[in-house]
Amino acid sequence: MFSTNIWHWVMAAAILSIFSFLYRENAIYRLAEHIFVGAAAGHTLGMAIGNIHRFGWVPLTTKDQWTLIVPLVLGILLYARFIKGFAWVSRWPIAYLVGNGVGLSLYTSLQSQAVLQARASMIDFIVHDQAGNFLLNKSFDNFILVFGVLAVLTYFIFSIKQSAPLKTVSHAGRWLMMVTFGVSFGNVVAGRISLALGRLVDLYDVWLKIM
Amino acid sequence: MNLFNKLQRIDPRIIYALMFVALSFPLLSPLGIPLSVSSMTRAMYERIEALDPATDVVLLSFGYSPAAAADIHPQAVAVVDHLTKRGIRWVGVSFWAEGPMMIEQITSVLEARGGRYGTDFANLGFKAGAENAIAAFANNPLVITTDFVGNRTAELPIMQGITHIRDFGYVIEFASGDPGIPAWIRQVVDPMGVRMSAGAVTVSVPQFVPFVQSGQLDGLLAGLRGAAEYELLLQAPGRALAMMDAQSMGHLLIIAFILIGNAAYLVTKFTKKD
Repeated sequence: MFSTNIWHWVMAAAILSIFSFLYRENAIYRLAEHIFVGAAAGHTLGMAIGNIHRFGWVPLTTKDQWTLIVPLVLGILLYARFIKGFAWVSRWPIAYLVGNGVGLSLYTSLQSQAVLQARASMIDFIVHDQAGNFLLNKSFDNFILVFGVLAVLTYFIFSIKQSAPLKTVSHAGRWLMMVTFGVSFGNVVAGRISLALGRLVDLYDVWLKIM
Repeated sequence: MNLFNKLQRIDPRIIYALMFVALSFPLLSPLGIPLSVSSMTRAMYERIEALDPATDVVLLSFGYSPAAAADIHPQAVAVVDHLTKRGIRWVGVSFWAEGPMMIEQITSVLEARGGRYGTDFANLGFKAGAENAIAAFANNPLVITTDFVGNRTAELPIMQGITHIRDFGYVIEFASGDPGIPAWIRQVVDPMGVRMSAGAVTVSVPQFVPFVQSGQLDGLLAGLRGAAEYELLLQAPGRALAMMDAQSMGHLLIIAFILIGNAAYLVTKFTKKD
């Protein structure tokens, strides 16, 4: 019963402080929140500075990799936006970042998340196993998948006035999207419960040792 | 205010208290609710079962922070447990600042059990740059020149012969956000033909299932439940499996409140009409 590790007690105090918000907002909750935000920001800053040192400064100064001066200077120029009169200088590194990001992901996004996904939607409605037997479940799944993709895409046709058969398919697409949003929301709820459970396990198992 | 109006205006603190009880009771007194294993989890398990311990080194990418660890860290623990049992070596890397901490939580336990850092496993630490960093790492893993504890990466026994991501036997990404699974698929899976599985937080699972359906991912662990399913396949019950009863009770409570709230709303609505 009860851990003897001081850091487990600190962890328990932090968890209970945050949970105290569920009763009402209070100073203890605000203290824990500020400590968390500060610690997270400090850790991220420390890791970032470590990366600049490890991958930028050390190779530049010890391995004569002089081309690293370019990204280091661009990184420093980002802070020019805080200097009155020189804020325009920060547009150059931002332009580089945007161009780099677009160049890196434009083709690959189209390929991975559009073309290959569309190709994966072109599937058989009549599915057989290797012995030649008709698989009703798989065939039905495939039909729902293809119909669902087409119905949802139909919903987003805004360039023509939708009437009779197109409108029916479009309505089916809307219902399918609502089901999908329900699934997503259900997953959000499940995820939040998982996170709460993690904290409860830390309290019962790590701190109180009663699990 | 009649009963049905009151039911629509329940004090949230009552709901929180009931949720606390619903989650706590099964943790302290397990109910043993049966759990099935999904095809996505089984696919990942079988993929790892097919690896050769003599030649294959697995790359594990830890793309999450302590904020999401409760949902996804049990997945990493279960997968590392599987790799360790099969004698498969693994290398951890992260493109999230907090990732190396999560890797270290696992490596410290393995070292305490006699695992050899640098030979059986390694922690390459964090590389900034998000998707850029993933692409750079994929083309040359030695772009991370030193590991998390300061060793030269090229001199680690486990990294011998690894000059491209294709030299790894398999890749597994545990992701809770960006950079995450889509970045790996864009930069590694599709352009380089590398096979990969992933673990995702429960919230993100619906958006990644299409990648499994299209074959871009071999398998997908779905949050805490995915970790529990993996522990079931390993026949090594752990934290995740212990939390499943509580997860089910939490869901039942929420369903009950949704039904109560909606029933009260409908009764109030039809009573007003009358």
